[in-house]
Amino acid sequence: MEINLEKLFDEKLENEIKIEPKDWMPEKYRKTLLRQISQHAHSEIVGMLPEGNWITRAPNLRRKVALLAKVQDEAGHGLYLYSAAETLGMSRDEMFNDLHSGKAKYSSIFNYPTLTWADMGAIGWLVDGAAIMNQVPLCRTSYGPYARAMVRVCKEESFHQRQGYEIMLTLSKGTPEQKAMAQDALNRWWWPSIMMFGPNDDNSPNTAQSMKWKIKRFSNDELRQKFIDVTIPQAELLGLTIPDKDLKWNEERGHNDFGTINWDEFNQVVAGNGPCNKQRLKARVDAWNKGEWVREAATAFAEKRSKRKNTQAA
Amino acid sequence: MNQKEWPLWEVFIRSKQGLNHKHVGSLHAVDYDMAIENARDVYTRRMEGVSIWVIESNQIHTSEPNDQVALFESANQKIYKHPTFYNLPEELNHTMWEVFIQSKQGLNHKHVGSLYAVDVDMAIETARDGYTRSIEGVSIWVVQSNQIHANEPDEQDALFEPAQDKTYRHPTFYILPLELNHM
Repeated sequence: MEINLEKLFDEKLENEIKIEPKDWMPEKYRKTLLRQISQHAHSEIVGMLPEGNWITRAPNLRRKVALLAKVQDEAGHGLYLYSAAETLGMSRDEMFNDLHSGKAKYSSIFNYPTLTWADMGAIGWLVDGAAIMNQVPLCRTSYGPYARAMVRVCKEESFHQRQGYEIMLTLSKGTPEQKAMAQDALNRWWWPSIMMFGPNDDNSPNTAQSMKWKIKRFSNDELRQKFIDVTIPQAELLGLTIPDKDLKWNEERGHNDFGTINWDEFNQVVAGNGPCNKQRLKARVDAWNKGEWVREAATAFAEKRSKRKNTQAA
Repeated sequence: MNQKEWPLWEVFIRSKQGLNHKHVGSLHAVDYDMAIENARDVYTRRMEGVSIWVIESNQIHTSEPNDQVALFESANQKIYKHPTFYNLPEELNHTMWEVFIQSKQGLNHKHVGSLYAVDVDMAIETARDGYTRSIEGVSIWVVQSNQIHANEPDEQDALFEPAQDKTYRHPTFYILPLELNHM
């Protein structure tokens, strides 16, 4: 009996039926997802570092609890995503290993430094804003465990962007120095944020296949354009200027035109030559190595306890 | 490398008294005590739960996808395609099993009840007859009841109360200009 598994798979996609871990799937679909979900997980984990830098120096307790909660959420989001990736057959340790060896990538944005408190505002507003733009359509992605993880992530992430915008709003209504600090943060984070959507469509060879598989629902350029369009009025409300002199409403397109992205910089950062690549990776590797004795002790304790339980039972 | 990895646990949360425990995801922990503690931090930061169940992943058995039943002669009955999910329980004399149903692909597995069976196959078959009325596309997980570890009822306040005060985890805590309300 010849049953065409690929045809069954295609029919599920066609009918918007989610693919679940035990379903047959093309090997390339599995690999694409594994790469995307694990990269996404790594980004959440590395993404804690730039903000972790400011937890002890938050200007007041309200800001501090919010930032702590946000960073804790990011750890949680990393864990949801790792567990979704594991359903595709790669172990957690393998994924960590790939991150630590530099084989796996994470979002380039986290290789930029956080120089002032205003960066906490700009990251929440722009970086989380861009992430949300990307993640909302992923709630409908074709792979069940990934879609379910993204629903949780999106539900939790709304506060991340709002607390960031609130920081920007407070600073831009503050002293001239505070407003200048907010403007400086916007200047530094704007271009890296719009690069977060990835290369232009004609330079993104995997996009067509990912859209056919309904992993992605929109192309990089579509999402980037949406993000730029919604962010412009938000900047105006803050009284801040987006650092792009070519930004202009295009009546014909119904969208804003914008300047040329410096893809050379993007490629350099992806290749490991960004301002903080080495520092970020080192922080992760150190955390893993320094935690080894904790992992060993926990394992030893669990063994001892289970032995004791067995003796009592006998 | 894999030798040292902590076991994987599946986490089920009861969001409100009276509702079923629903699968939310998985995590690694050395034992069930640690799994419950970690599940509390990872999956209930915003009052999502009043009770947590954890089950070691390799104790859960599953039905094959309906459309593929005919394709694979011997079902491995592991929930994922992991190479490590091959352990079968040792003693299987008319034991009690808990049943979790995914009523549609894309949704979470939800606890629906329990049954008696002598082995995994019988548990899955009985669950199919009893709980799904043979609806197409339904996925069934079964696990021996004694493999479920729950938080102690008297821990409930200590585990879940603190989240109630953390209003800053919710978007409405941040009052922004009306123009931004879609944010």
